[in-house]
Amino acid sequence: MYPHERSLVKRFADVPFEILGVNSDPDRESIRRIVKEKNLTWRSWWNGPEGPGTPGGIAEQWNVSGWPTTYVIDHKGVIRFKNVRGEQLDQAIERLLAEMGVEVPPPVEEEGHDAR
Amino acid sequence: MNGTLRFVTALFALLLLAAPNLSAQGEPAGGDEVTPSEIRARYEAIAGDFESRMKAFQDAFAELKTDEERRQHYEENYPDAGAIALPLLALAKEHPQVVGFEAVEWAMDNRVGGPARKAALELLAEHFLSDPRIADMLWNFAYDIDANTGSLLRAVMKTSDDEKTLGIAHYAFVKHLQGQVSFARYYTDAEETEKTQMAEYFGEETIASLTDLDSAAVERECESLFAKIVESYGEIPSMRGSDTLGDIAGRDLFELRNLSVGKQAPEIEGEDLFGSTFKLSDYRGKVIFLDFWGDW
Repeated sequence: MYPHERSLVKRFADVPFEILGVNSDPDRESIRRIVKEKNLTWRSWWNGPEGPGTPGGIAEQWNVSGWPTTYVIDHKGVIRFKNVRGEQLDQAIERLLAEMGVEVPPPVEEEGHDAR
Repeated sequence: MNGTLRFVTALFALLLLAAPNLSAQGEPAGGDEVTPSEIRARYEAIAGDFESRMKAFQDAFAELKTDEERRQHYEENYPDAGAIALPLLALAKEHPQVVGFEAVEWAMDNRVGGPARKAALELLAEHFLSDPRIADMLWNFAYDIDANTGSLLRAVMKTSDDEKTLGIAHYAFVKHLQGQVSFARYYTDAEETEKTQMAEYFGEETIASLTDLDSAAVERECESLFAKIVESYGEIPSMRGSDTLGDIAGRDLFELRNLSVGKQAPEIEGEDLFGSTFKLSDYRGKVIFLDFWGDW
């Protein structure tokens, strides 16, 4: 997923688009190191587990039971897509940008194939 | 207990074991009747055979060195629970009061499919709908979209008078309905070749019933069922840590009401990885890809 996300950051750098993460890793220190090493430039809420066998409060409120769980939200804050992956994710973002009257940038190549 | 008495007791026990015409209660059974202990012995023989085959499979597996060897061993020698379940369930059908429940439980624990699963469900429906022992077994049905599962759960909801059974049956039933809705959506959007594969796997009948599904109506039913669980069965423990049925159904209800496509996304507020606070609504005016993730 990281390479795809980095390609989204690159492709949609000049249009109103943002990746936001909710990170449920237990160890905040190691996840800070990982985002630097792997060049994950988007912002994440830190949402570590609040007890054994539970996710953090945000993931719990959003009833997340599998990771990654993803949403695409439009510019008005309305949930428009859930768990779309790969090309369908690009298409979803393209469609919502087009609804805003934004000129949609052409696709870019994914770089690197690290884990996830 | 003195030596002689112990000896006599042991002898008596031996006689009981050796005498096929004595039932467990010590009453002689007439004609071709088989005793409960004989039925149990047959049951144990079939189930035990599976256990020993499984153990042999695992022992051999542990000796293997390469992934290729393990894959081949798995494909060739993994014991087929479905094949064992059929004679087990046939025995159970003849003697439901003796080994019926165990056989159904065995089939569920070993996740059998196809005709064995169907036989297990029939046995449950015929003899155990109001048996409180089925409560925990019902969790197995929560992620099963098959129409037979839905009918079984409805029947339990109608028949049982055990609170725990009723609560879990309601929860499993509503998850089953949600599974049907998402399957129907997935199927509608699938490519033709994938549709053919799914029809082969689930059977034309199930596919037809799912594609005719009125998703909006079913989702309304789900919403009221989740609300009913929170209200009536909220205190019953769930399978998830210390959460009650009320906790998990409450979150499902929240998801249905607030996290469906078309709903305004709930606010998120908190610290980022480096300690500064931010909100989802800070990004209003932009398209957001929201990713619940972990580096694991």
